[in-house]
Amino acid sequence: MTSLRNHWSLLFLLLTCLMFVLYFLWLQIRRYEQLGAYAFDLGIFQQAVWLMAHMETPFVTVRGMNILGDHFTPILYLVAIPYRFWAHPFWLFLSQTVALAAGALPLYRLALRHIQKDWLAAIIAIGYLLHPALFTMLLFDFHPVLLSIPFVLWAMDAADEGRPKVFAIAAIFALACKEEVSLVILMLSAYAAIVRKQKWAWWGVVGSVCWIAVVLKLMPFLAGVEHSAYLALYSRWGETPLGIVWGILTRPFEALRELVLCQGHATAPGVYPLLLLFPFAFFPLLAPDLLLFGLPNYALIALNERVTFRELGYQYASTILPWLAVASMIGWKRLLQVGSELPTSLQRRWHFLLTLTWCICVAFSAYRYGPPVIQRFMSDILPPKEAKAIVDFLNRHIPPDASVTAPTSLVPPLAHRKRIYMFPNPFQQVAFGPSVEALKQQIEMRVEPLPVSEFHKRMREQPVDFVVLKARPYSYWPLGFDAYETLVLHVLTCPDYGIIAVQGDVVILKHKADFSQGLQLLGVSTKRQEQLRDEVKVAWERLKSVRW
Amino acid sequence: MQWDKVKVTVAVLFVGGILAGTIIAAIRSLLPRWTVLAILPYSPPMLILEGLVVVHIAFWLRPLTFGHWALNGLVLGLFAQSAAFIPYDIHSLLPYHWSALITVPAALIGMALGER
Repeated sequence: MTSLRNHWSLLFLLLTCLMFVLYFLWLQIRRYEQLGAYAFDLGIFQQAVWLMAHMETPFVTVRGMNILGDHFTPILYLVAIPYRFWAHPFWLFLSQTVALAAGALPLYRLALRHIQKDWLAAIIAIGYLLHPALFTMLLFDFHPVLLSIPFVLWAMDAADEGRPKVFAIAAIFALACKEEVSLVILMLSAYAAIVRKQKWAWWGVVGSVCWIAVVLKLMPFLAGVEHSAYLALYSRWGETPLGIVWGILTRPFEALRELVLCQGHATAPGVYPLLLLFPFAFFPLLAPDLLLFGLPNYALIALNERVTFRELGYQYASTILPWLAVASMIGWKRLLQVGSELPTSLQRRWHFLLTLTWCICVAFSAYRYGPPVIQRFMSDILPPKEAKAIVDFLNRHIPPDASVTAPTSLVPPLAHRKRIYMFPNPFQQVAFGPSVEALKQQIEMRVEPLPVSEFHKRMREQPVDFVVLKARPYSYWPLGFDAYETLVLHVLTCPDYGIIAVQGDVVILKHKADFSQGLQLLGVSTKRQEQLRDEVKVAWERLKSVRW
Repeated sequence: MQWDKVKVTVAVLFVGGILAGTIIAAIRSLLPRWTVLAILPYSPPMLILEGLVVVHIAFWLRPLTFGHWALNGLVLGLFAQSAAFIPYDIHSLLPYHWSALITVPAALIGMALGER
């Protein structure tokens, strides 16, 4: 009878997971097909996985560096297997969506073992799925770190049950998802070794430390720099990894203040940690012994200079959520244990109180915090017909093996090629390459356009086959509006490139195509160089009002 | 009172406080703006509604708690202040105002009514 009941709760959980996968997969594909996805971070991974699928070095021209030097994510080689047969970001979306849904299963298993109540285990796992920090991560393009979540949870389950082999396998897969996950595995091993007294877990500690040491050397080597640029995000604490740790330890009150306030880009001080804890009904606070081991991963987010780390909708919480989910399960267990002191007649009411509180917190937070984030990421999409017309137009004029530079939202449909750049790269390098400056440009968007003569020189010396421009892009990133408009005029007045096609507000230029003939497609007929820029500007402004 | 009874009482009041706080936060988020008058952040109708929520929860939880009703009511009323820590939206918390302490007398009333 018990196994039959377990069976029904598991089936219910699996059905919930299936609905979760179908709904979020649909949203992601819709966002991609309607040109709402960006070069950063979908185009980057599309190109990386496409190169891996074709046995090429994953030097991603969208980012200007080897993808493994940017973030150490060898798990992408697994995603590349189906990509070889059908190159479509569907595989990226499917893998990350299934990964998040699959995380519910080890959590259910853990909860069932500790709580011994199948339906409670199922609602705890569903609470994890409905955490607004979790499902909103899926909307922002693709991030391999999301693939680590089920492996980390399997590793937590194995550490809890004392199964070193399963732990090792899960840990290896998790480590392959991003360099930050090594800190999760290190702290998890330490937890299993110190708190759970699992002697074998010391091997996990040693292995994780070795992995961190190797990755910290390997990433800069692959990127061709001395130190990973991401260390600069912690520069107020120190220059090197050990220096950063030392800086935090020697300024504990400042660090504590940052950990508590954790201010985001638009998120007020103190709100982000509450957004993480409240959907789990604050139950994780009842497992401080476990949360303490998750603190270093939280510190990576809270002490970082990039404020977007502390916003819902981004992937950064993915290394904290497994800790919170398991801590909430332990919180549940402790509350149920405490309640066993109550007379039997009142225990039912106690269980009902716990369940009601959990369900209301989960439902309210999912309803209140999730949809605005989804709406934000779905607000940039074009009408389906317009998006399809643009993609058809691009495919009609640009051969699959040609090199292209295009604005961020037009990179994903063109990403499966050896050389694809985000405009204005490669002519003016912005957010391109492994430097700290490139990283800062991603945040600041204060790029000064090059003078026209220098820009034309670079267009001549570092040509790409095609340049795609859009008069009304939803996003000018990584440029501001003024810089984008200036650089567009630089491109349109460069005699080395000619316009070969104009449709709607999209213009395609080809290297060495007829310049004068191209201008006629734009409605510019002047032969006088001094008037050319003004006339092109007028034509460009006209293009902004042309509808598809 | 035994230590185990203290633990169970605190646990009940903690969870009850979160339940009350969440319902209060939901009321503040979901009710139409006309319930908010200009003088205070939380209008009298809103505060009365919040108080009623806590009265009911306290009344319902009284049998689960041990010890004096007044102390339990006080603790539950303070735990219900968790509403102040529940983000209004993805970016902000609502401003705190002393009038939100209505949860304390409300919890005392609820506990007193539930006293056998």
